[in-house]
Amino acid sequence: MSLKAYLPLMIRAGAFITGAILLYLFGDINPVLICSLLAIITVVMLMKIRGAGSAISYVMSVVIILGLTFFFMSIYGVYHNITYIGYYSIFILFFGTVTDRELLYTVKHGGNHLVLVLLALKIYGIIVERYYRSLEMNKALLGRQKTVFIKGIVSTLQSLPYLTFRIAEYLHIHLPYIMGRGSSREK
Amino acid sequence: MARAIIRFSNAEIHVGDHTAHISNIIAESPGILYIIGPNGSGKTILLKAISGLDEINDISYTGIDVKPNNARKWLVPQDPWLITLGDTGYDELWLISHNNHSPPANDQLVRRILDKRIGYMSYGERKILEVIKAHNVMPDIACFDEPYSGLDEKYVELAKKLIEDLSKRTLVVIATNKENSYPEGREAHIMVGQLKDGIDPPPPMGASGGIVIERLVVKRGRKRIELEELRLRSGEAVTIIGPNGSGKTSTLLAIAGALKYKGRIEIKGRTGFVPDDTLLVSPGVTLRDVIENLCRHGKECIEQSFFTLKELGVKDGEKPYVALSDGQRRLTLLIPQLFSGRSVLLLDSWLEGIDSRRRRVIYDLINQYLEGGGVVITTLPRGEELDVVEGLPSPYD
Repeated sequence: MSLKAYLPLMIRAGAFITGAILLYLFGDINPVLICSLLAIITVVMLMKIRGAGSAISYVMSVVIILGLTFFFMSIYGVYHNITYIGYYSIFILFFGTVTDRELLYTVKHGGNHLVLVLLALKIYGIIVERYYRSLEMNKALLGRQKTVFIKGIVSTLQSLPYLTFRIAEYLHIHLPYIMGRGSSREK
Repeated sequence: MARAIIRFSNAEIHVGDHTAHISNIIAESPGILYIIGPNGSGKTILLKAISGLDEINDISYTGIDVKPNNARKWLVPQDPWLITLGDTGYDELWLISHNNHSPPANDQLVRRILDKRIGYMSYGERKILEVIKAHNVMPDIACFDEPYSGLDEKYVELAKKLIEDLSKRTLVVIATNKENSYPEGREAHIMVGQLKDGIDPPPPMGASGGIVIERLVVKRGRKRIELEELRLRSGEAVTIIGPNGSGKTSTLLAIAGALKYKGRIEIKGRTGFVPDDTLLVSPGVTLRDVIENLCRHGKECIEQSFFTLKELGVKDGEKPYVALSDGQRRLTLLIPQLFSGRSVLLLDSWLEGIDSRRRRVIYDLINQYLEGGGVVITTLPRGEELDVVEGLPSPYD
């Protein structure tokens, strides 16, 4: 097992742990400074790893959380809520920047349970992709009616049992090879 | 590598409400076994039983013996897997390869596919990726479900080359509805009730249609598709040809109004659309629901569609749409649109997945639809670049 394979994952895990410690120790003392620091680190890492789209998406989320935080601060006069930005940033920092390739490295080198994490991300991706594709098909079949968006959601939800079957089949065929022993089954 | 043997001895497999009988045969590695049968005969179910997916799918069968019990199996489905764990073709290959087999990377075509992100791949490219994966893992039994359908000529050649190479070391099982397949191998036939002779469906309802397209530009992801001009009058048909990934489906989707585009598209009448991926249409509903929706609840259209589908062997209206075979699903989407008064029919992937006898019937129906004033635009994975040719392809293309 090569340590080099884990290096990118370890750097991000290191950033995550440092961020969590900073937030725990100084989050109450100077939440604005600590949370801004974490947000900047997260933006830079997202930009490098996932691209501008993810970074912009993250910034927009932060702006929304910030807006909600100030809104509730003005109502309830609670000032330490700004640390939510910090929690959100370290969450994204860890989970949002892990690439498929790094997870695959981990899976290949003994961390087979992590395939479940990867799978969860992929299933989420499939459902979103399927919604867009079924939207296209419904538009083509039914015209540009307003109901196509609802039909797209219904169609995607209806397809969940089918998706589950196909994913189970994929895993049944692939997992034995991923784990290095080929697809065999005693009958 | 274990020596694999498949024996069909008075074999039967239960497909929905009927039982399919399989001709007696023994096939062993290395070599190829073709499983030949018409649409809905149970080829896919049989393939899943051989590749060890019978428990997941609750498949019941008798007289099928696969040896050795611990044979390493692999399945390439007719439609590419919905999920892949790797980001690119190389990721996916690397994930499953614990042995020393290496991808046939000296082939430029293979390298191009493996380099590509799976999310950006077309239907055909994802299919060929699955064939490359099968070649790379080198299982004891490799099952392929209609491996050449939906592929352009260069990918068909590549798939044949890889499968032939695989068959020199392992037992390859191919399910197909076509006779005389290459590379040569043994044949097991699935025997089900044959279609009756002289099918006589009612004539389709073709409304007078027309279409004018000028300077069409469609963007989909990183792809940019351009079509300078296309004018079709009532009763005319064209075929959009091009290799896998060239933008045939995107062009049809733009014409159908499902994708944004630049340029001018004018359509006289209502459009119908038959997608290449038939499972994108509400898989949770019954056959009856699909027909009623496509007929917009027109009584005559529903009756004629049911009659025609019954003649073509698709009988049970209460059957879940997802439980039909791929060819049956295409028929279910196509037939009601021929009877519902749509004036322009957009038929993606021509008659892909439909067996030869049913193709003949559908081909005649489409020609009658054109005689009635309808307009047809279809696609076919052929040629080197996106192009439009006059007329319909042959029913056997």
